[in-house]
Amino acid sequence: MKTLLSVKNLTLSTTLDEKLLVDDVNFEILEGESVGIVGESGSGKTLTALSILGLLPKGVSQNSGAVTFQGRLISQADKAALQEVRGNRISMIYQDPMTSLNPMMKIGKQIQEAARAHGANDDESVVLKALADVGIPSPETCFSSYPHEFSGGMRQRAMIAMSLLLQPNLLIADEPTTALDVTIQRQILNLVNEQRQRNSMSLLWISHDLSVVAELVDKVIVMYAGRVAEVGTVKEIFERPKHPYTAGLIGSLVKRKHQEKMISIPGNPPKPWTVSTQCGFADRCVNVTQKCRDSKPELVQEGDRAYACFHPMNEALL
Amino acid sequence: MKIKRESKAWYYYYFRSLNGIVGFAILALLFIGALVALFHATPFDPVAQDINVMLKPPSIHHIFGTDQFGRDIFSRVLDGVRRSLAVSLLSVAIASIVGSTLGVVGGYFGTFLDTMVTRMSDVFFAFPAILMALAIVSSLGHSWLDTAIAIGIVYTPIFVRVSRGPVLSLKETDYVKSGRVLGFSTPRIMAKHLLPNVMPIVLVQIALSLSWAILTESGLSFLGLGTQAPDASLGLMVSEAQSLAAFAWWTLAGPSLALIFAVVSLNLVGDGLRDSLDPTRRSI
Amino acid sequence: MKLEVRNVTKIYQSNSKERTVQALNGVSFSVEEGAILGIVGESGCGKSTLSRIIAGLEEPTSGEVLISGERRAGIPRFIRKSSKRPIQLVFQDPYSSLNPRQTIFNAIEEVIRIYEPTLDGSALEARVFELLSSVGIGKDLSHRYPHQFSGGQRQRICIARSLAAKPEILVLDEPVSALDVSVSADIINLLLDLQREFNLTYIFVSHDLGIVKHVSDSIIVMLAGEIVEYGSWTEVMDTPKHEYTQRLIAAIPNLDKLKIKESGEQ
Repeated sequence: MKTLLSVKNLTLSTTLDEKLLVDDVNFEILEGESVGIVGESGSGKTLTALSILGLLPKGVSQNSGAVTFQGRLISQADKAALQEVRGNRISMIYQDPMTSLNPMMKIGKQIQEAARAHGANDDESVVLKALADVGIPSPETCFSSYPHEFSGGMRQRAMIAMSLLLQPNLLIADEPTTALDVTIQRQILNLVNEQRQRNSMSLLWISHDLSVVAELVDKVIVMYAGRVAEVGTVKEIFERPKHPYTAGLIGSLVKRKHQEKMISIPGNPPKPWTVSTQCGFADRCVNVTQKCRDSKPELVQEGDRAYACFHPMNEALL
Repeated sequence: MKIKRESKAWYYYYFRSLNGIVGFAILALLFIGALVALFHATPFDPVAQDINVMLKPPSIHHIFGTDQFGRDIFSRVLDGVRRSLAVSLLSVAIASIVGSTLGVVGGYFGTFLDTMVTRMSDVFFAFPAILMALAIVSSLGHSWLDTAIAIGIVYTPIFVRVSRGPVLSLKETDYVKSGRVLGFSTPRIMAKHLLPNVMPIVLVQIALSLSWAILTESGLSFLGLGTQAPDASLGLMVSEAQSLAAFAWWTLAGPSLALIFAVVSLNLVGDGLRDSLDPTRRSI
Repeated sequence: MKLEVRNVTKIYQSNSKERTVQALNGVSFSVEEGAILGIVGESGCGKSTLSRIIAGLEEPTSGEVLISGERRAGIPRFIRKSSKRPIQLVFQDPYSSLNPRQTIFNAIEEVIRIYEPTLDGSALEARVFELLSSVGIGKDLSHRYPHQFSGGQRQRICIARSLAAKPEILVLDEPVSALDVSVSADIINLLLDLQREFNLTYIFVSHDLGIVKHVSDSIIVMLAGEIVEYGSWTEVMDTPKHEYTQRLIAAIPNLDKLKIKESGEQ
């Protein structure tokens, strides 16, 4: 399978005082593959996603790294090249549909505007069909309504409709279901799965919730303190996590006995720049040694698997 | 138990704000000048006339020159600054204490109490400050105390508004609710949990109000309703200088400069306080 | 101290718009002393309103809340003197639950002064440190301000503060929802330890069925202000009767496709 997106040596830091935010991140997404990035606060997962489309917020800059899409370099590319890719080839949906949809504009008009911006067909009928495709019960009503008149789940569907209208090759989803109820999340997950298969689209799903990602994707990238901690298929990660952090996460999810102690990771996720010369997980790790505090573990590739740890876990978790 | 602060206190940030530093410096100078006048240590007696030196331009003896009665303008300016500061301090003290109390109580309890407080403030707000002050001073009298009370009454509503707003949102915060669930008495909640969090905003308003109060006091005495001749007041001096300024510019320059510095410095202090108390605005 | 909620209804009325919102409708249940009741539901189901009513922050429009057979006292708007309350509440957001201008030492001391008024001086100080260490916060950190702690630590401090009131019943309203995943497991473990140690009664409110399932003895499922399912945790999870409960269980991301067996379950 061909590589669709490739991120190499991505390093981001704050513009003003050069605090490290994302440290040397590498990964690939193949055509038709679905990949999940899992991480908590400070992991750098959202910034990584934003940097793919050159949407870094003010105050964050890219120090190094190359993002290649369909063989062409798009990081640090000129506006025209990025514009061609954004929305058209790579689409993105965000966590809060209220702030990602223009509250002053009717939903239908917004979607039309997006289509027009990329020279695609912006006919009302096309938009209505897109809204129907994502399971919105009355597309005409939705078309002429404002975002605030709808629930979070409906707005998120409208966002997905807008993103899929141009049939992108890659859909990036940044925690789109975190703010939604569990039953609504279930509907959105089913919807995305369905759409993905229908359009044979690649998916990059970002979440703090490992169980959500596990259901949706083929490959999981675990990020911690700005770096990639582990990469593998869902099955591999769950059955044999290598990185102690992954093991801790999965353990707390899966190994639960009613009212007994849950597997937990003591301490808190650190800010990436405070651990730039050591393993970011050292302070919370069960396998920690002095080596972990003195140097940074590099990402070790073992076929499709990868992990950045000096003392990986060895037994199967389950 | 000694409470050791781990984080930097607000004054640390205050002195990192350029506005705050400059404002503080100028204000300090003005205060010193006022103290000098208070202790009758001015170079000349502010009301002493000397026909031999009428309308003399600035010189080594009389740094700001003399006025039409031979009085030393510099001394009069210092005395005027003393009056202005005294009046503004007292008036703002009255306004802030009464206004904040009403605002906090009204904001916290809501319902009838709050409605009464806000409606009364609205009535006061409807009148331009200077007109209200005029009206009150006309009925009260011309002493500096009367002026201070008048200005205090006029500025009370702004403190009601400024303290009420934060209280409305603060009383919904989880820590205030926690206090209620934990059984804290209302006075305790107001004093320990509401007031300290409202104080920063009130403090900034105090600095700004002080500058407005000085202007109002000067305005009143300019109109002849505040300090009466022969006492020195910045507004009165400006008023008297109207007819003299064409050929004796220093009679206007002295008091005007003092007024400008007073108002500007207080505004800068207000800026500095705002910068230091609101973490998002800090220049660092 | 057995908690009983009898036919509680809560209607909110907006006086300007003449609109009424029925937040709770005839909710009834009881909790035995030392038991953990989990209340699960999605947004708008009324679970937060219910937790506020149980704690006394709001009064039901009709119905009552009883502790050991007696009506629990509400919290009046104006409280003249600080007094003890047997039901305490831990809030969801650790970032707004502590007064930013108070050291955590003072925050906890303030509570002890009301609930254990005989303590003072070094005994009082020792008690503050004891409470903080029971939630894993070292005494050398006690003179810091809330913003100097992480979310998980702040939540621990809030728990310690609630414990300082020696509550009979502790209502926990989404206690870990605002925390990172790796931190929340720790807090859950802490809460279970404390419950066992002090034989506390917990009302654990959450939208996360996975957590509720883990901690609760019995579970209530709420939808649109009503209880749609109520039983022991095994009954509710294994043999849910109401269609909504079944949907809720089905909505949890499915790890089955990986043939992963959750250990500890049969």
